[in-house]
Amino acid sequence: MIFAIFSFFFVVFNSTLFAQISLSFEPLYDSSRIQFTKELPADSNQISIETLRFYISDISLFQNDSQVIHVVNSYHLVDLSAGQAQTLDLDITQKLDFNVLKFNLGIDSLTNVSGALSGDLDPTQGMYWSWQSGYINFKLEGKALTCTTRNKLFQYHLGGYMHPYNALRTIELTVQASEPISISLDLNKILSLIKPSQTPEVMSPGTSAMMISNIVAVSFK
Amino acid sequence: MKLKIAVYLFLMLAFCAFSFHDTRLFEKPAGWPAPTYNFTNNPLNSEKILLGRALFYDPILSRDNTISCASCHSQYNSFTHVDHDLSHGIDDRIGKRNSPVLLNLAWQKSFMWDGAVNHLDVQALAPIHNKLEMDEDISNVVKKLNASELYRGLFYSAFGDSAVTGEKTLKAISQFMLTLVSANSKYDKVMNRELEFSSQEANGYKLFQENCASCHTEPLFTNNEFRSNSLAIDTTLNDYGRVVVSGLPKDSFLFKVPTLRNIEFSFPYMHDGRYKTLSEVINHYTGRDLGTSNTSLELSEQIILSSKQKVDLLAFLLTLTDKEFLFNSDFSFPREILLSN
Ligand code: HEC
Ligand code: HEC
Repeated sequence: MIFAIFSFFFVVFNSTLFAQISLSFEPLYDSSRIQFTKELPADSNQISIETLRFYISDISLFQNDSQVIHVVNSYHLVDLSAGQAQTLDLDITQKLDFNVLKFNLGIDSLTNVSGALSGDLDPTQGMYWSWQSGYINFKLEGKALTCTTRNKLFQYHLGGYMHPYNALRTIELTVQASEPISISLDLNKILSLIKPSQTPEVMSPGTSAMMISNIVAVSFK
Repeated sequence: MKLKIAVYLFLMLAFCAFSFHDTRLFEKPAGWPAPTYNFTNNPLNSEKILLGRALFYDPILSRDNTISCASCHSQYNSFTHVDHDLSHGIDDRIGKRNSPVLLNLAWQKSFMWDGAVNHLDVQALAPIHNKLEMDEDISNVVKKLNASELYRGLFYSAFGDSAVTGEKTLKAISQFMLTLVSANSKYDKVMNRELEFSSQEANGYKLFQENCASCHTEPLFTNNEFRSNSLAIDTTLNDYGRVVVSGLPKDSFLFKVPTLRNIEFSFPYMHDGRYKTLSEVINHYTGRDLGTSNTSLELSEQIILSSKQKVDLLAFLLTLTDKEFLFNSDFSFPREILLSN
C-alpha cells in the first residue's frame, strides 16, 4: 500500500517535471539524383523512391558504457516514404543523461514466432510476409534508370529471423541529448553500395538479405 | 504448515493462469501432451469461435468473393480438398501442393508441408495473399469487414469493439481452427477401453507400431518433425520441401510428417497428392528405392509386408476415422449467420 502511494507520487511528480524523449528519423539524400516520387523523372542518372519503411525495436539509452534505460516493448514502424522526417515519442518520462542510443533494425525472433500482433505489428501494416511467416524488417522500393528490370523497378524486402539468416541488426549511435534525438539514414550510401542495376531485387531471407541488412545498418548516423 | 499453504496457493494460481478457458470449447483428450498453442494470448470464447467459423466459410476473404477457406478445406473430407491432387483456387488456378487435413492444430508446431508458417495465427495470411488461392490482401479484407454491418456486429460481440483489425481477424480464424479436435475414432475408443480392435486391426496396429510410429507417433500420429519418406522428385513440380524455408541443404526432400487421423477421407495422399489410395501408399513404403531422396533414418531399411499384413495395416489405418468429427455440426457452414442477410 505504502509502495503504491509512493509510486503514485513518484509517477505524478516525474511526469510533470520532465519532457518526453523522442527520436526523429530523417532520410538523407542528394535531391539532384534521388526523388521521393512514384514515377521516375525523365533525366538520366535518376532514382525515385516510392517506399521506405522499417521497424526499429528494443530501444535503449546509454551514458558511455552504462545503460540508462531500456524501453520495454518498443516496436515502431518508421515510414519515410514521403521523404520527410518522422518523429517517434518514446515511453520515457524521466530526465536522463545519455550519449549513446542503441536500437534494433527489425523484429527479434521471439516476436517473429508469436502469431498475430496489434498496432505497428499488425499484419495489415504490409510489413509481414504471407507465404513464409516473418516480419519484413526493412522495405525499400523504387525505380532507377539504370535498372534493366520490368518498369525499372528495384525492391528490397529484408528480413529473416532463423539462423543462419537472421537479418536483425543492432545499431549503436553516438547522439546528443537533444529533443528530439535526430538520426539520419543515408540513402546515397545505401543505393551506391547496393547498386540497384546489379541487384534489383531481394525479397526473401538469405545471404543477399544479410548483406544488404549490413549495408543499411551502417547507413544510420 | 505455512510453506504448505504457500505451495498450495502457488499451485492454485499457476492452475488459474493455465486453465485457459471453458473446457466445453477445448478439452485436452486424456493422455495427450499439452497443446503447443499458447491460449493465454488468445483465450477461447464462443463468440470469437463463431466469428472465426463465419470467416472460415465466407468467400469475403478472397479478391472476388468466390473462394473461402472451406473451398479447399471441406469438413466431410476432414477439412482437406476433395478429389484434387493439387489444390484449386481463384479463377480455377491450380496451386503447387495438396491441401492437408485440418485437425488437432493446437498441437502442431509449424504449418504447411514445409513448415513455412510458424504460428497458427498467421496461417490464414498465406492463402489470402496467394495469387493462386484467394489473391487478396489482409488490409483489404479488414476494409471489407469494417464495411460490413454483419461483421461489425460479430466483432463487437466477440471483442467488445466493432473495429476490425488484422490481429483480431486472424485470431478469430485461429479460434475456430483450434476447436477442430479429432479424438473420437475407434482407435481412441480402444485406447480408452470402450471398444476393442478386431484381430485384423490389432495385428495392423502392431505392424504400425513397428514400422510407422517412429514418425507417425501416437496419439497425434505425427512427431511434428520434417522427414523424407523416399518419394522421388516430381520433375513437373521440383518441390524440395523444407530446404526452401531453412536454406539448409540437409533439409532437401523433407516434408512435415502429416497426421494420419481421418486418413480414410483425406485422399489423395502426400504433399503433391500422387497416391489416390491407401493401398498405393502402403505399396510405396514396401517398394521404395532405398537410399534415394535423402530418406530419413527411420526408413533406412525396406519394410517387408505380406499381402495379408498389408490388409491388416490398412484395417488399422481405417480405425483412425472419426465420424463424430466429420459430422460435427459445430464445425459446419454457419447458416444462421451467413444465410441470414
Ligand atoms: C486454394 C486452396 C486453399 C484455400 C482457399 C485455403 N487453403 Fe489452406 N491450404 C491449402 C494448401 C494447398 C495447403 C498446404 C500448402 C503448403 O504446404 O504449401 C494448405 C494448408 C493450410 C494449413 C496448414 C495445415 C498443416 O497441417 O500444416 C492451414 C491451417 C490452412 N491451410 C488453413 C486455411 C485457412 C484458414 C484458409 C482461409 C483463410 C485456407 N487455408 C484457405 C489450400 C488452401
Ligand atoms: C521417416 C518417417 C516416416 C515413417 C517411418 C513413415 N512415414 Fe508416412 N509419411 C512421412 C512423411 C514425411 C510423409 C509426407 C511425405 C510427403 O508428402 O512428402 C508421410 C506421408 C504418409 C501418408 C500420407 C498422408 C497424407 O495426408 O497425405 C500416409 C498415409 C503415410 N505416410 C502412412 C505411413 C505408413 C502406413 C507408414 C508405415 C508403413 C509410414 N507412413 C511410415 C514420414 C514417415
